[in-house]
Amino acid sequence: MTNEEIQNIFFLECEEALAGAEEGLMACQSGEADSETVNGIFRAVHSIKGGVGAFSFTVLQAFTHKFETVLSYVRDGELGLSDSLTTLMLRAFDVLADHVAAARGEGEVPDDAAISQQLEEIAERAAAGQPAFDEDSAPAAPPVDEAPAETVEETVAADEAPVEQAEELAELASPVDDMGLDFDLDDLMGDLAVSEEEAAAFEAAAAEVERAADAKVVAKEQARQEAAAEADENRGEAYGRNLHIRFRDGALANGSEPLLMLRELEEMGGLCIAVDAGDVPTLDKLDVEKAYLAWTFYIPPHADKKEVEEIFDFIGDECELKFESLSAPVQREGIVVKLAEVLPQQQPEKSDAPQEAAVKAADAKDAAPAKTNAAKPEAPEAAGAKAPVAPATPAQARQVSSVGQTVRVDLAKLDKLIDTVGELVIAQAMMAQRLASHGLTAIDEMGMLDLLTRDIQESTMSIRAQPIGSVFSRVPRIVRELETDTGKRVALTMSGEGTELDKTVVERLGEPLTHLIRNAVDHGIETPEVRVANGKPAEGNLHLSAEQRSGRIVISLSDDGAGINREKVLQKALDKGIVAQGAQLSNEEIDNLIFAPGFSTAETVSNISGRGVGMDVVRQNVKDLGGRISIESHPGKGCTFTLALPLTLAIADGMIVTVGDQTIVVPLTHVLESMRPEEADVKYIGKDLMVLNSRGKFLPIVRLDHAVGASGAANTPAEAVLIVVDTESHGQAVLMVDSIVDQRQFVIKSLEAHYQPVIGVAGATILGDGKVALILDVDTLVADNFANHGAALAAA
Amino acid sequence: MSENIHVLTVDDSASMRALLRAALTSRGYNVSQAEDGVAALEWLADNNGGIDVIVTDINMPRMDGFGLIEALREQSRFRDCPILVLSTESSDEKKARARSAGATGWIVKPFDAEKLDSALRRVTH
Repeated sequence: MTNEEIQNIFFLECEEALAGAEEGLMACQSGEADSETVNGIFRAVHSIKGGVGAFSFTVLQAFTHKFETVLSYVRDGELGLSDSLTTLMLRAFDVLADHVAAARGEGEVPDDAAISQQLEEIAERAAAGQPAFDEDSAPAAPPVDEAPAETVEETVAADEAPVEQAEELAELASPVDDMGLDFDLDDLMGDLAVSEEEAAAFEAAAAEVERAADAKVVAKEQARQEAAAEADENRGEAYGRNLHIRFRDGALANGSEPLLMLRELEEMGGLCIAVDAGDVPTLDKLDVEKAYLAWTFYIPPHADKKEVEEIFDFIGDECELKFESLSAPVQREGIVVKLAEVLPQQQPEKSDAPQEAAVKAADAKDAAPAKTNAAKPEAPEAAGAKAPVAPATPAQARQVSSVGQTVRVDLAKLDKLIDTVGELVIAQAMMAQRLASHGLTAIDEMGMLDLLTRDIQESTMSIRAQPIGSVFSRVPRIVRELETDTGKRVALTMSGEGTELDKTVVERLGEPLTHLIRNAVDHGIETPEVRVANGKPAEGNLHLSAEQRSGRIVISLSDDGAGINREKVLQKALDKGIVAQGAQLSNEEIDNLIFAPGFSTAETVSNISGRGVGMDVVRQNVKDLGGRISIESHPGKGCTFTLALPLTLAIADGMIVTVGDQTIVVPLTHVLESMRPEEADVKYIGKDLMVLNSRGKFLPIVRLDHAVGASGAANTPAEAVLIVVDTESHGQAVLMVDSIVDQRQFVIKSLEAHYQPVIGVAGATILGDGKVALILDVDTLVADNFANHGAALAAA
Repeated sequence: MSENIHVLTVDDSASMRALLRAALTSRGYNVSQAEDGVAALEWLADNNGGIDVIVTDINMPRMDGFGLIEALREQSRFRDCPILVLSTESSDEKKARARSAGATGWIVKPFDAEKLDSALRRVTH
């Protein structure tokens, strides 16, 4: 996995964390927060901080750290969660989100100076046991609409030196820490004086260990030691230090391994010059879980004291360390002699002995799961006493596997799978058809296969499904920013965040939805003054919901604002020449005019929703997703936009029709109705062109047989079936086909990938009988038809 | 020597898991991963405890690092399994808590791969 890929995972994670944090903060704002909420926010920010450090986004790291500090005070109950603080944290959150976007290369690095300062000051106040804001000390929460920035300016002196923060940041900058290492060791260091009895025990232990030791390892180790000593000698001038080390009994607990620490010390150039075995008891009193030895190591001048301390860092109080600066050069000979005495007992660690012992003790080991420490001859007493009987960590069959509830899969692989499953479904249908033609319709095996195929299809589809919540989660921030920008007040409610739909749809839904929300706040909801004047509450309501309804996802956005001003819309449309003068339009049609290209109703083009692109783009976006958008507006009461989207893009609903010798699929998203016309409903214009009188409206009829070059099709509408379709550029039109055969889901195959783009054709699919059928691109087909017969039809 | 060492890393952050996997596999460790304490315990139960060393984060949903360490130390087969904490936290208080829970070592995030390697070597046998 490349670094970049890991980084991408990190950004995905940031998104999740940000969404989680925002949700939590929103809950705080609405007063629904409990301790777990705050904890969740803290964890989210914390996890971002953890990652940014690893990827060296230093600016981001500094900011997350400040944010996290404040959050930790809130979490620990040292800061009350007042409205002002929540508002500040929401702003900090927005800055954090911008920081993450910037780190991702998607935007400018935000200016966080002001908010950082505020966070620092609050952390400082919290550290001093003060509330975040002065007024927070009063039991009553301050009013919501108080400007938070001012509050902070007033209550916090800006020139207070943020000492604590500085310290924390310093700590952040250098993650090395130095806990628990300064203590008094005066009475801890003995010399090598050993009682005879103890010496015997020591000898016994050493002998045991030595037998087990692999001579090669020892030799290598010694060579390394000598090389290290030589290296020291070359340095010459400074004298280095002696380090006295004594492990306490707890040092062997928790799987710590003192020997390996000593070995690491050696790797840094340290030389063991003395061992104090004075505390080693007689064998019968020896407790393998206790530490008895103390060491003195010579630490050469080039070894960094900090690094040395780091080795023993975590063992903390269980290990006593004392550095002693040397005032005279070390006599190399002296060291080597002592080393020779001490080394052999230290070496067997990587020998075969423990393994042999393990084999010998294999039978016993299941019955008595021995302490693994005992098998590690980290100190002579332990090794001597227990090595022969105690097994090493049982060699387990090791299997590399990853634990997790989620698996991240490359999208291309997933699409390939879905594609293949689509083929499987088709193959299954073909086989069913073939079997049926041999009179084998009701065989059990076929039923089973059918069931399984459908199961697989549904499961694979659900893999691509994503909760729409990932789009919804961005909405609160958008609304918040809009509130600030417009001075309007909006209460946002959402429902159905768990509704799942295709990942691609989810991803591409963000833009149109954002636009709709901007539109609703900018144009729909009135300013508080106007609302109050109209007898509405000052705060506007915006409700966003998603639900699954008959195989489609329906997303609706309702506001209780002014609704669409039809008079104004119509006037504008007339001015812009979008509708002809004198045209009679229904209310619904007028409402739909806002989707016309280049339409903008705001009198002053604001920088919020008036960006040149209008609702037509929204409509196009939705259409590209195979969906449809509709409006329901009640002047003075509000407006609801409803988006109906397919569950997936890979499979679409289609109407299978026949035209002469061809079978064609018409995507259902375009189909409004189908009918067998009365002869009187069809009018002829010239020889070839026909229009359908549909409830007083004349709709152009497109002869599909002409469009696709089919032969033998019905010649007059009376013999045919007419399908009314809705198109992007030309409103409604009518397709004339011979008959409607079926309506079913189909897998879309790109024609471009296998052939070339063809006007009027969106792709192809394979039918149950194995035949390929073209899928109509109704928009371009009708547009193309208009281009050919445009003048005549326009006249109609 | 790290060829045979099997490490279980426990971290709720997928990127951290990926970083750890990259850093450790490139140094010859066998790596298994879990995303929180609960998942780690499940993995260990499923795999019969076949692990040499555990590296765990502290702040995790469901079961945090402290909880995991305590739970492991209660099981006899993990009483002596080295457990390293890998956390952005570095307060003495947290460290003391980790130590009393039974952690073997503490590494501060962002981690240095070399240091992690030497810490792992230090605690594995």
